[in-house]
Amino acid sequence: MAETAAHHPAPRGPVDRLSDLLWRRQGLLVLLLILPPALWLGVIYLGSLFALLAQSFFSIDEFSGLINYEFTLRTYGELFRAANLDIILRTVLMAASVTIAAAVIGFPVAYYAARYARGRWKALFYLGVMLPLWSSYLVKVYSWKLILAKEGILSWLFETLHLTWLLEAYLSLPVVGGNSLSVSWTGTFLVFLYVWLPFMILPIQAALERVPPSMLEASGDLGARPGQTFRHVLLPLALPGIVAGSIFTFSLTLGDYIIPQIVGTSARMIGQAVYQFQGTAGNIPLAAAFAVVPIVIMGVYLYVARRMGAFDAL
Amino acid sequence: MTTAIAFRRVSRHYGEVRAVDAVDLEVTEGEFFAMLGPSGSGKTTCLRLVAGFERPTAGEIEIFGQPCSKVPPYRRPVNTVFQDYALFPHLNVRDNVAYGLMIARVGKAERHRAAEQALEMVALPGYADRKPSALSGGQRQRVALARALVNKPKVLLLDEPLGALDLKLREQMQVELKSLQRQLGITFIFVTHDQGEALSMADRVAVFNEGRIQQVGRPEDIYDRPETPFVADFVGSSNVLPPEIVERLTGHRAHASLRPEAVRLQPGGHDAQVVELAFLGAVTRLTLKMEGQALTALVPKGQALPEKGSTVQIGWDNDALHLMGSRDG
Repeated sequence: MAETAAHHPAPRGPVDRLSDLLWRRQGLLVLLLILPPALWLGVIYLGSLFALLAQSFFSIDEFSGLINYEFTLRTYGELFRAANLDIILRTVLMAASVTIAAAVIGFPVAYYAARYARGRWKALFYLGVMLPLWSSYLVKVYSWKLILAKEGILSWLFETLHLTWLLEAYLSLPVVGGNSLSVSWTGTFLVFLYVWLPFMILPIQAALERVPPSMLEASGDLGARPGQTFRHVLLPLALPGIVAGSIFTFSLTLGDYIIPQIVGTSARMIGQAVYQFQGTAGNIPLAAAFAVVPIVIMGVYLYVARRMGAFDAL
Repeated sequence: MTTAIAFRRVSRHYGEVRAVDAVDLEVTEGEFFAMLGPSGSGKTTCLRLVAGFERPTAGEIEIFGQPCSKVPPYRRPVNTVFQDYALFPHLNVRDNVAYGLMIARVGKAERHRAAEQALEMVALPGYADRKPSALSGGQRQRVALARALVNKPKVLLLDEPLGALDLKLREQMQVELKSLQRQLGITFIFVTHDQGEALSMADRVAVFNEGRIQQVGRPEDIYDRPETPFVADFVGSSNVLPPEIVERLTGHRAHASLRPEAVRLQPGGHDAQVVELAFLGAVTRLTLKMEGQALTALVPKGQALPEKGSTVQIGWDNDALHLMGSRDG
């Protein structure tokens, strides 16, 4: 017995015994780890999502302003009114342009970081990309308002460079222009682009990190010019990263109501509509129906992306 | 005989590191040429210089007489089989093989037919619709080979292509590669650290060490007449005898190489102590000590083996002791 004890020391104390128990029954460990997040996700998150969905199938009595708790699709029908359809279209266009611009600007940065940056430069890259995320969202948005304002830094810069005429010409354009950049669609677009850019760069960088250099060499070896290698090898392999990034930029833009409130025109986006309908207007069903729109759009987007093979390289 | 590839005093330095140092080399058209050396000896860098992935720090590389330091990889008439195969994971086997033809704007039907033919050549018909991830290592290796050969390169560069395969498969691929090369008549440049592979497959071998070529020659010459102690030791792990002992044995003061299989147990020979025995299957390896010098001998199966620690007498044929110049000490 003494022999055996020397080879297998008996568990000492409750921590040892707990470790032994978890080692013998690994399912228990997984259960303990997964239970709190599952409860959080299942009950609180999904539960409130379903409550929201349920609200959207009710309607509001236009005279009393009270909610009529009977199943109806009338509220969804209201989304198709010209004014509401405008809001949806405007928001989707904004989200799409922000996403495309973020991908175009983010890709070269991510490519540099994944293929060339080493050691200190890589640390600098992470710092540069993450640093804006550390400061308050509101501070960033208000800083942009100052940059873009009529007497702001940007117009001062244009004036110093004797390019005020260029800025004026741009602002006189329909749709994208306006009284000043801070009350134009261009302003809203720039701030969205700035605030969400890190969410595009990081997934692309992670995808590119996984492409071995020999893959690009092989393409060149088989006669492909760098442009062809980009189109036929690099882009398809980076696509899951680009799609992941675009999910962030697209859905974050679809749902945001603060940026278009502070920088931009008076025309509303989906987030603002939800905010107003559930707040001042007290029309919870319509607010809920509006909130379902981004969910549906993202669902369609992911389905199309999958059908087009965006996740084949995963 | 046309020269396919020529190195003219080519160097590739990374800062202080001389990966390739003033290499002169000519590879003849239609030759199966092996670059042999330990890791870090510069052989792979030489291959990458020919492919164009690296550019020489000094010197010039000629492909069929044309200087090509300024020619990018995608305009060189050579193709590479990569060590990790580098197959495109998002394309199926057919599109992988047809990639070069697709880039060269060959029509879809024609390039698919060429791809099927190339797959047949490497004994992989019927795999065209699979993704590379659904293939075994040996099959990926064949796809990589087909992908390079389908472009009908003038020179095929192979970077340790068999390194990741298990022994049985490797031996089979060695035979197949060799017969494929005969059949196609394409110049093969084959990089390997496996001396058995180099000796069995190549028409000529260049032995690399520390960025320099130690010796170039036919496999028999490399094996029987190594020019430097490094070559003697690296190729067939020969016994390299120091000048003092060689002087006592032959009267010449030089390093000498003595192949382990040439050392015999022979009554009346030189006294040697048995330090260690290792059973290797067909032979048993004896580690001996003769006049303070460690020696290895291979004894074929069936012969009587001495005890460990005993003293034996050993001998060899006179021409088995090969004197070397001392190019690297």
